[in-house]
Amino acid sequence: MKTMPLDQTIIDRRAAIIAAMRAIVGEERLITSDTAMRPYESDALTAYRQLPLMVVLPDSVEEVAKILVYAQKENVKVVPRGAGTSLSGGALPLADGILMSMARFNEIQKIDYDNLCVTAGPGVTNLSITEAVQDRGFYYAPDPSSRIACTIGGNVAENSGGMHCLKYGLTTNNILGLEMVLLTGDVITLGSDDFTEGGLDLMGLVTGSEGMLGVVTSVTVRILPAPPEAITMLVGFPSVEAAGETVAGIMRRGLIPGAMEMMDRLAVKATEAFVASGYPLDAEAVLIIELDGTREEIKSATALVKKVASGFGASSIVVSTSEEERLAMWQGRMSAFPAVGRLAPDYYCMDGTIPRGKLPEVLTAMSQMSRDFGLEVANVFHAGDGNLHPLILYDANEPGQLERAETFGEEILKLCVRVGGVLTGEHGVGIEKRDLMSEMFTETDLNVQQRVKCAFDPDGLLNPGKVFPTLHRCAELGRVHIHSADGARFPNLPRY
Amino acid sequence: MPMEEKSFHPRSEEEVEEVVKWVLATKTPLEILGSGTKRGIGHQVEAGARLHMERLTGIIACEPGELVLSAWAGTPMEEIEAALAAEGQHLAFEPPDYSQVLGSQDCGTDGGTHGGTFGGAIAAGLSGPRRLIAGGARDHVLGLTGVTGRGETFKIGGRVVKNVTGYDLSKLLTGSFGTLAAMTRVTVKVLPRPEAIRTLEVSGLAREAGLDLLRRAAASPFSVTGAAFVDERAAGSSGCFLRLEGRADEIDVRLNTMQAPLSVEGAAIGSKASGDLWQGVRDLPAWSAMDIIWRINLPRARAAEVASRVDAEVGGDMFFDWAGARLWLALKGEGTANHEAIRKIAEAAGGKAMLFKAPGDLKSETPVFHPEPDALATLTARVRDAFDPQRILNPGRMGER
Ligand SMILES: Cc1cc2nc3c(=O)[nH]c(=O)nc-3n(C[C@H](O)[C@H](O)[C@H](O)COP(=O)(O)OP(=O)(O)OC[C@H]3O[C@@H](n4cnc5c(N)ncnc54)[C@H](O)[C@@H]3O)c2cc1C
Repeated sequence: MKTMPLDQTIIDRRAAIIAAMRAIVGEERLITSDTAMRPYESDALTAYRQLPLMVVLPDSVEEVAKILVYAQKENVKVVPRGAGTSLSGGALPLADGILMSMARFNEIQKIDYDNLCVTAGPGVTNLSITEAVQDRGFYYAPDPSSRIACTIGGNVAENSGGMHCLKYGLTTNNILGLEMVLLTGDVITLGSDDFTEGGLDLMGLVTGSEGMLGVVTSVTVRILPAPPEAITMLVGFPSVEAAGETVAGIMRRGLIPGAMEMMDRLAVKATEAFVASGYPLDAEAVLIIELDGTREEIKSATALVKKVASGFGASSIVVSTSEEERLAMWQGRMSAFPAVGRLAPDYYCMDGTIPRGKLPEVLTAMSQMSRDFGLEVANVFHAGDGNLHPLILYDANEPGQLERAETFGEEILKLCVRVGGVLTGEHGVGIEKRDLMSEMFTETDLNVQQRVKCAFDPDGLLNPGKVFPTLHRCAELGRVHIHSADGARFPNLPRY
Repeated sequence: MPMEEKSFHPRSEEEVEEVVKWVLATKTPLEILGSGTKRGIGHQVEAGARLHMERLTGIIACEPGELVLSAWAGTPMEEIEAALAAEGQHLAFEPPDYSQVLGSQDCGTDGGTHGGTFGGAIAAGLSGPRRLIAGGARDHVLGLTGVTGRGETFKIGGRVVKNVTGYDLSKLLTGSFGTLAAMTRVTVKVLPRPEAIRTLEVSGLAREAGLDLLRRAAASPFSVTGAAFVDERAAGSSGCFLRLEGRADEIDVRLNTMQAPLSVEGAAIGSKASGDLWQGVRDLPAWSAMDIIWRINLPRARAAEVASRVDAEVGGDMFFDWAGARLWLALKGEGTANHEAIRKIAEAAGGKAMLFKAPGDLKSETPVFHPEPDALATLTARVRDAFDPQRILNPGRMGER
């Protein structure tokens, strides 16, 4: 990976910058010693580590604004951070940049059952939003597996998904409003407490922008009534193809299940050894399907799933008969990553998305690659929406294995793009997939995106070095290249 | 207009790029048109040239198993809807057909299709009643290609539902009314069309009680996919309409069990009649004779309060969708100079008001879109600079700077 060029003048001015930050946040919320900064040196993509210039923990919108105004004036870079669970290096610090932890913004500001929304500080964890409203029968739908730890601010930055996104949408589909501080220090409000229309959809743009456009200081999310009932089905298949056809078949017949996950043989084996959730060990692929709604809706949907799955030759179908059983069935899927993690000293989690119909082709190619690279791969898969999580097993202590795992991963992502898919379904580009962006986009495509970055951040100070493989100066990107009027070819088109 | 007006009818993406390069070089403002059905929305564009998209037509890929559809921007909506219907699918955001309520617009297209074009639907970013549960147009666009106001052909997004590769510019382009780029191809997420529809009609409720019922129904776990209320004044008698969609073997039970917890008793309306009813909610054909129509977006729990203030200060007929979060207000000739009052009322409740339909002279002196606070307006202008620094595409359509 190419690293960002280091600005030595910033390092030289570190003492002055520390003093300025101290004046804004005080001594207590400023971290400058290497030992105390150590926990911030990486996010969950731990292969990359870097101590920041310093860590600041603002606790008000005013402080965030002051820090950003200072950064803009003094040309200092800033990296926002939530809980640091990003799997793409989105929150990786810069040696010459301030790391701004949003951990202090950890309060739920408003629970509004009348408008079905919750307003929370960006440092509030994903799960605590649901916990705050579940007594009254509501929940916040996007449920990344990291939901105990990851923050809603991080979710907005990454447009995170989860198991239930198939039916209920990703973060971006469940956000109603945002408050954000710009580098100018201006505080803007996007969206509202309910559905908004009119004007450019900057809220949609900011969601998923990986902390590069502004610092989010408040998030308003939509809460949903919890379904009255839910059941889970475990369906085993003799082949991955049959499981894939069943997924498509269910949706073709008009049913969008609450969740529809797939695990391959290796992932199932690892999981069963870890938690014993009753997954069929003889199956090549297992589908974990959740059906929710009223009793009649579930009854109707269960019959349909059974019919489709049997039609494609399912080898076993088990339906949960109690809430305990349902949760136990999920326990397997929820533990899949740590379970697979026990098979080898390290694993590398990939996140491409493919058109569902390409699943057999991609899995076959992946097993070939697995043999070529000499590294095992287990597959856990948000089957309903084509989002693959191949887990590549390796041992970082064996010389060359990390590099091999990374190349293997890259090859998988390139394959995803080749079959009509994308580099990342929910984990973000960050630094991890930055240099692969040109697999999907032309230079022009990337310039169009970078100009948007320039509109918010003309000096490239907010989380620079992420997402874009080449950094352009905004002035250079902003230039308009127009041919002179007589030089321009008159469009040779039918006209009337 | 000083210049002779030119019309372009490109048949390929390359030709669209050529047109934009030419208007840039000659500094000729360009109006982009599908079939013109939504031309009445937004401000009138003063252009020296027109780009007609209707020859850039056809479905590129309809993949029912993948739940996606890609088509050229000029494809008639009828064609898209028919192709999806043949597969038992639909666009879940219920793109409205406002041609009747807005009246016909002369835009020199050949023939012109009633339901507009695919590109037009996305550029206008309009959504129907199902936004309540299934999201709006913005939530269904997966990717697109287009030509920016700098004359560059670009692509964003992809053809899969789950994608966070790069910025989500699809959302920015959806609802930008062709002011950032001329869209050439769009890919959207499609969903299964429900097998059965039922509507629970509860009549005779006073406005406050009706709006309260909408909110309670939307907060109930019965998956209500439409919640609309029409005022007595607008329809002769008031009516509260709750829509359920699902499978034939479960929907009637759901309709029945829903009523006790909501403490209402209503009349059930079957699939066919429900289809017509919700099309009426979506398209507002009943208001084609109205001269002025406002669309107010607001937090649903403030709807009753906003409506009372509108009664007291402005008057007019009202109709509520999205469980109250979208208020339609129609004025007939009366109260033309009250846009400031309406905007104040909306803002006080945390909402926004758009002048959806109005005679040309009123629109030329009133901002159609709700004015933005300074810092946001400045930022929006900078985002526009990124795409169209010369403001050459549909200039002024959104009242932009
Ligand atoms: C075990 C595990 C399981 C996971 N499962 C899932 C999953 O199922 N689905 C999924 O989508 N992801 C998953 N993730 C990835 C990760 O949890 C998400 O990307 C999450 O949203 C990151 O949140 P965070 O608070 O940790 O943010 P961080 O990692 O701290 O930061 C992520 C990005 O957000 C930016 N950011 C943070 N706060 C702000 C703010 N207030 N303003 C502006 N920018 C900000 C940062 O600059 C950075 O670019 C998983 C991670 C782990 C470790």
